[in-house]
Amino acid sequence: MTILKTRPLSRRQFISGGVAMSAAMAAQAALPNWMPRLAFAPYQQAARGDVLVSIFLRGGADTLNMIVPHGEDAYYAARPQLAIARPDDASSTLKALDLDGFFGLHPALAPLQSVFQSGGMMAVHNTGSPHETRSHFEAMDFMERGTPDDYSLATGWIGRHLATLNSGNDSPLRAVGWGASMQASLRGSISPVVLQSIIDYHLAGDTAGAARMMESLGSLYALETDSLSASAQATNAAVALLAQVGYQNYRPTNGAQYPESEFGMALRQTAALVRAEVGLEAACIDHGGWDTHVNQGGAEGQQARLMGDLAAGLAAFHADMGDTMSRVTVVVMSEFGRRVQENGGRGTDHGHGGAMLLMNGALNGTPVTARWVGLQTDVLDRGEDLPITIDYRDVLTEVLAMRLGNASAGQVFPNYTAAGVGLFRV
Amino acid sequence: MNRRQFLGSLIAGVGATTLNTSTLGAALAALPRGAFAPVLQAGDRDRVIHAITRLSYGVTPALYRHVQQIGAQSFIDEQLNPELIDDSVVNAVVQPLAPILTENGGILFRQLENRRGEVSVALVGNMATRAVDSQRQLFERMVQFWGDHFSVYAGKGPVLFLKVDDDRDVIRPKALGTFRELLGASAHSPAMLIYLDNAQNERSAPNENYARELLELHTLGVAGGYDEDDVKEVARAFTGWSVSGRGQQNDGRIDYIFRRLFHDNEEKIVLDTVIPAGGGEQDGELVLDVIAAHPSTARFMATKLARRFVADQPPASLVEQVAATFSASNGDIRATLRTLFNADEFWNAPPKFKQPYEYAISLMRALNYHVQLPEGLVRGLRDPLDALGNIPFTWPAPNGFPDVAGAWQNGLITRWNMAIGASSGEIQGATTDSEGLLALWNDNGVPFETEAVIDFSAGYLFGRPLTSEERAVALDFATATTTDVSEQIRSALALLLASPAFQYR
Repeated sequence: MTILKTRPLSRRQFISGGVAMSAAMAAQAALPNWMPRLAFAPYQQAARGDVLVSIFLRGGADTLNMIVPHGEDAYYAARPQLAIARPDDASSTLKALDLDGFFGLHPALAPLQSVFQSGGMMAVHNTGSPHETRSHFEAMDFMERGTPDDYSLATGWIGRHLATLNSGNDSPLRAVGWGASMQASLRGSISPVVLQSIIDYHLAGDTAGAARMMESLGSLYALETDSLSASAQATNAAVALLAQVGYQNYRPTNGAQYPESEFGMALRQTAALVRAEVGLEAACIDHGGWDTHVNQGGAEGQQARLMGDLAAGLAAFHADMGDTMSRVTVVVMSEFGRRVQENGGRGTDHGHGGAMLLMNGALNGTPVTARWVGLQTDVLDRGEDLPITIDYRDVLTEVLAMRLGNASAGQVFPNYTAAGVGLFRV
Repeated sequence: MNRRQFLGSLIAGVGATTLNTSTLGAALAALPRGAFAPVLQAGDRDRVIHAITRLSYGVTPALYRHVQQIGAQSFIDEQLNPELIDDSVVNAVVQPLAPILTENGGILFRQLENRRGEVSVALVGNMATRAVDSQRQLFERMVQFWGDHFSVYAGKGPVLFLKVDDDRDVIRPKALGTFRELLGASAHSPAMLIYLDNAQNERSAPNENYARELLELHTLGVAGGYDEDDVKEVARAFTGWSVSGRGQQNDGRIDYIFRRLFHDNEEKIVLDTVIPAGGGEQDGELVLDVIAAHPSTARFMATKLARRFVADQPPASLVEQVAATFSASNGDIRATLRTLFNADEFWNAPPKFKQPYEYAISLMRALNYHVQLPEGLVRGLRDPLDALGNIPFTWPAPNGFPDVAGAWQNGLITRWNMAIGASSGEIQGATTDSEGLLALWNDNGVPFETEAVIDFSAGYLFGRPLTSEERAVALDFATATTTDVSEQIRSALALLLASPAFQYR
């Protein structure tokens, strides 16, 4: 199966069969100058931490082939067809790009190599959600709730983070979910705005008529008592604020070239919202298609193409943000890693532990953090999957405390006592 | 303006009063809250509208008349026997799609691999046209339900082409048959075999993808009482269930085949049932027998049907009743639905939020649109449904489109724009027959006056009168900037169709 939003083929292309230039791209081509920032005073009432950009690789990414343990013989034994060649393999042109003598990047992640080398990115290996499920849906659900094996909380971990962090920020764009539907991690008492395109986010018709209809709709939806009312109010407020952003004039800095995929466009628009100072505190982006049961490919192929899009987007975002990366934290995760042993269809089945990626200006400088225990059968989870030695909540708790200014991790991850990992400079 | 063409032109110009959006927050805060419930309370609704909106894609003038005449109960009986309902009108409209829709998916794949758009337009066009204009509305809703339950993602390789066969040969013929028949047909469907990789599931290298989703999503449910060993054993049982290859002695057809040499013929144990060695192709059939008859499957299917037709969180009492019929009838889908529709919980159901596709179709039906060109319809629906993530057959995961409100409550701007477009006569591929609406009003003694039409439309669209607050907002919006009654009515309809109440069925 394939999970969520395989890119770059959009649903629209599914029907048209063609590739249309997006409105945002067309606007970019036409208009050079961009309003530097909006600086909304009400949104700056209290000190806040970083903007969180949470990227979810849907489908269970095979992170063993992304952050490659090239120092591990058992990796090569388990993956005769799929393994990524060692950095010193003279017989291969496409091979792992060494990070620390033991782990290396998949060659399709090359755009990120210099970011890793400069300390701007880090991989955390042997991590994940401890629940034993191998079901995409359960694993994603638990991971996004932040409460493995517990359905008692209906909210997501980012939703609880924003609810517990009293930043005095009443921006309608405090949380944004990119895509067609809201990420489960955003569920909570705040009302995230879910959108695909800043440019298209308004009511049709002439300005006066649209404003009058918005007013009447606002009145009708305010009569409701369920979440639809909050959604309508958030919609109205976001329409007004996004109209002021002037995204059509946004030009990325430092020569950043975003890929034209939906992932790239989400990152580009996120960058614009960060720069516009509209009060954005959390953005969620999905990247789909990682459920590579069949024909996963090695250095090239299906998964390499996904990694290429991921790397191009992240590298562009890193360049575009520049010094602003000191107040932006990017977290990349997936619901589980894949089985160590490749299957007979040149793919991999559902596994357990995996890797997360972090991007921020205050990482501790180590390219890979792992409590690596090897890949021998006796140490693997159920004898076949990467074990979890760093709970993903340990990673996120440090992100919350050290970068997002949230000391209430106990409310974000209830009934869990996080262990320190030491990911950031103190 | 000729009142018979009142849906024909733009809604633009409805507003001279400009409200600065920054004052909107204050205006909203000043409104009273919680003292009334614009979305009706469970059980207060006109039974005619309740039956129509739950079983169909939405009220139309003709359907409203019909159900008013025969009664809600007779309507349900009628819809449970779609083979007795004449559908020749819509069949004629989709006839131009027949060359694609009657072909084998493998051949389509070979011929149209680089013209995928034509195939997706045919698939979605057939589905959406039937949703708008078929008289067999419950049948179409069940086709949608099973398409979600046995969801395949058209974006994966040849699956788009094979979905043509899946829709024609699996879902439609079996939609109101027995669950075991449908499950078996799906297990043999090339679209499913390729989508969930069972076509590559071989003795020497089992692939667990189909086996896992078969248990988790098609039958028992994730907490249905199986474990990881069962997943592996089921995968072994289905080794060799595959598809014929491209171009192999057969002009390119892709059909189900059993590859004996790739089948694991050793003993398996699935849910404590021993599948003896040497069973060959029958291993898979035996697994399907076991899981189709399992009580967890009855509960899981009862829950999903009740969620679709009754409530996001269906009452346990209802699930029990429906599951009991499912089990007692050996998975007879009609009998199961009959129990569902006879239950008090069905008639007292709370509002159910429309998925974006359902909302789009219900707009068209309410305004008496009829499809002329399925292709045009698809091209018109494409952009809004893409923005809302609800183009049929494009949900990448095998669990189908989510069927709870929380998944869909964020796309209001796009929905509101769809309502404006529909009220302005701007639906591609279809035209509105406003005569039908006018005749309905006329026959119900409703004069062509804004207030009267607003009041009647509330009953027609929502099955209940407007609250005084809603009525004041609608009337003010309609009348503030124009004295033209057609303009006023068009504006009022746009607002009612964009309103919260019409987001529910």
